[in-house]
Amino acid sequence: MPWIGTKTDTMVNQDLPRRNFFKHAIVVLNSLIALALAVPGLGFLLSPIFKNEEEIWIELGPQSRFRSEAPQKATFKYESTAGYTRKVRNSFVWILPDSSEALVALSAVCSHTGCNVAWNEGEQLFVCPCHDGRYATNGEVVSGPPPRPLQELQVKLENGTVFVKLLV
Amino acid sequence: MNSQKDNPKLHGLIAAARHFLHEPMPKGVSWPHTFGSVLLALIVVQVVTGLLLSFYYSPNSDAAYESVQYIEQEVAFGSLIRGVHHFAASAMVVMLFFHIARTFFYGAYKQPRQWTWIYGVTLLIVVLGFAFTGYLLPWDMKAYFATKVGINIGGLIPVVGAYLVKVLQGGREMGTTTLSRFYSLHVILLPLVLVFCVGLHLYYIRLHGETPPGLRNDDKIGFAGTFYPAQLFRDSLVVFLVIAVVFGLAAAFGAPLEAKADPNDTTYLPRPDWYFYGLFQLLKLLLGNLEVVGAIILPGVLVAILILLPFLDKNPERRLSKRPGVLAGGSAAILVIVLLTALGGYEGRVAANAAATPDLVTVEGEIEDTFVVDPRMGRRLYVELKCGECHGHGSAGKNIPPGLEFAGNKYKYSWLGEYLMEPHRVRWQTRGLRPVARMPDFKLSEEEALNLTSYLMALRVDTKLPELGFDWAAADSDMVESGAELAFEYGCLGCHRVGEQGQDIGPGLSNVGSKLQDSYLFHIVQAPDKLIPGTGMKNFQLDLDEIEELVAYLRTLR
Ligand code: FES
Repeated sequence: MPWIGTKTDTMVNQDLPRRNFFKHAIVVLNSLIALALAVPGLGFLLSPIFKNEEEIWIELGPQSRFRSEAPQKATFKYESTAGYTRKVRNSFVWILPDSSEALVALSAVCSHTGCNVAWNEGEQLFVCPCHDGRYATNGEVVSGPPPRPLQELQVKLENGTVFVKLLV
Repeated sequence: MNSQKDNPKLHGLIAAARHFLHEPMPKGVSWPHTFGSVLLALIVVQVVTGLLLSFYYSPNSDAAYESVQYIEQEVAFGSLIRGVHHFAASAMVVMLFFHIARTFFYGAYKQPRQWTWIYGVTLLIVVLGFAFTGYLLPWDMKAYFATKVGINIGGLIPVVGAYLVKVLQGGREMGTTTLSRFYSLHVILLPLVLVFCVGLHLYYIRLHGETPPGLRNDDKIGFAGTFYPAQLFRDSLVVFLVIAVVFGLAAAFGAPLEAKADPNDTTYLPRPDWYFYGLFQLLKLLLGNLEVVGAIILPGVLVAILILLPFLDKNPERRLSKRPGVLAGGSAAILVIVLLTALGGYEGRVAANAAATPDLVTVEGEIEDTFVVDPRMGRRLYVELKCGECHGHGSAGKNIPPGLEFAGNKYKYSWLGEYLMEPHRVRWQTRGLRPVARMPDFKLSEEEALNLTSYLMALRVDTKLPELGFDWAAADSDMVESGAELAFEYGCLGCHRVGEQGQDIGPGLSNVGSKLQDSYLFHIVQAPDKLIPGTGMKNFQLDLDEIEELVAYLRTLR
């Protein structure tokens, strides 16, 4: 700590080794205290980072419901946890026309800043209401600000019932 | 390097730091002078951990407990941070004690340092305020009921007490408004006051300098070095050790968290945090009308003496050997505080052990129905049958099922057992008052009824209903007779039924002698409103002899 000055060094400089020990011990002790507070403190603050997302499979209904020509909105409820509270939320995904046997589910969340995209019958595109981002039926970006295609979600079929995988 | 000292550009923080670090230290300043720095460091620890906790905590009775649980279980380092906050609070009380004792015995409160001392005493009160308000925040059983006791102590203050209770509670009852109030006090108002007082405390310390031990106030002070580095090293070392202990305790034990507060559970026995044990014990010793002395007057006088100390003791002498009176008084005060605290802690442990290992009674009967009466099973029943839903609101008012918080002081064991087994038969015999809500017959078995009875009989509030020295069993017939006359004179029968006489406005008294304990009868006649706020029973302002005679009569009604 050079900025502390030397006024007293001249006063008691006959005891230099002792004073030097004090100076170092002060730095070490106080650094340890600061560290003991800072490390857990930061961990505590940044705790949400260490929380792993949970995978859940959401039931969307019987496969027979998803047999249309246009992308179809599949709504569902799920329990979302925020800290120590739990709330049931409504949400939806887009199920693409069933060309083959396998169903494809697209997240409705725009890759730009996360508004929900809607299917526009006239344009045959997914249109985002927020900044006019547009996506093709397969989720690829057609125009506008979105940086990535709509996210494809994992789908599974069990006994004729469709499930989609979410990360919460 | 030396030129730095006179460097005009050296200003602001650096200059301030130098100003503090270069404070000249009088000869003799050493380890006992480190307590203040430890307190300062603990304040920093509390500010940091408190700030962190507030990132997750929610001051709302629906969510507070859950948020604390979340901190404990889900948040990284949550239990450690909360533990540190908890134990650092205790450490502050301990260090304050040492700090004040040191200042006292060194005579450092004497003029011209009176303002340092007065802000110090204020800080003591502020810290206890922090402890009291912080205690409620987890909203667990302990928090709720200990705070309730604390608030009710405030209610003992004559005249303003009742208003104070409402203001502290933020309403007629303790609930979410109480919680948000205490939260605001704890994290906004008190910290502001704290910063203000700490600032002035430090300012005055720097103004008058440290107090060297063993001198008169007018002696010339010799200096040996400056605050930095020798004294700062001592400070750092002691601070380090104290904080290490705090962290160790936090890591090893964590802060306690009991079940979520259930205001309907009148059976919970609250205990304050250990630093209030002394006050708690004092209240136990001073019963009845003396309660206000123990709760308000004595602590008030103590604080007043502390604040006025520099003006009461103007003797410039600071050497302890020349201040025998102060030495004796201070030591006695410390001894009393330590003893009361230890006694409170010891009795608390005994009570807790008694609750954990209840006295079991074997009831002899036919071989197959011999059983052991177990209050723990009784407590289970109390919860399962939801007794608290009706009886849990304390003993309050007319036509409300009686509270059970002092059932053990009130009922006779035999009557309560019989009543719980067959409430309707017993009630019918008693006649008299029919509460709006009727006690259902739960068809308890003898074993269940006795378990429940033994549990309820363990619920006592001896501060409100102390045992009395008088032995009514030895009362002669003259006394009983004059008691009967008194009952007639004061018109007891105007409300109560005895046999075929009297009215059914208040509870029937035909068999009150087998139902209620003598000392309860005494207390309810002496001050009905104090036991059952809002009761229709009048306080007849009888003198003690009259009450004794009345009780001697009442207990013969069986
Ligand atoms: S959020 Fe969809 S385009 Fe911006």
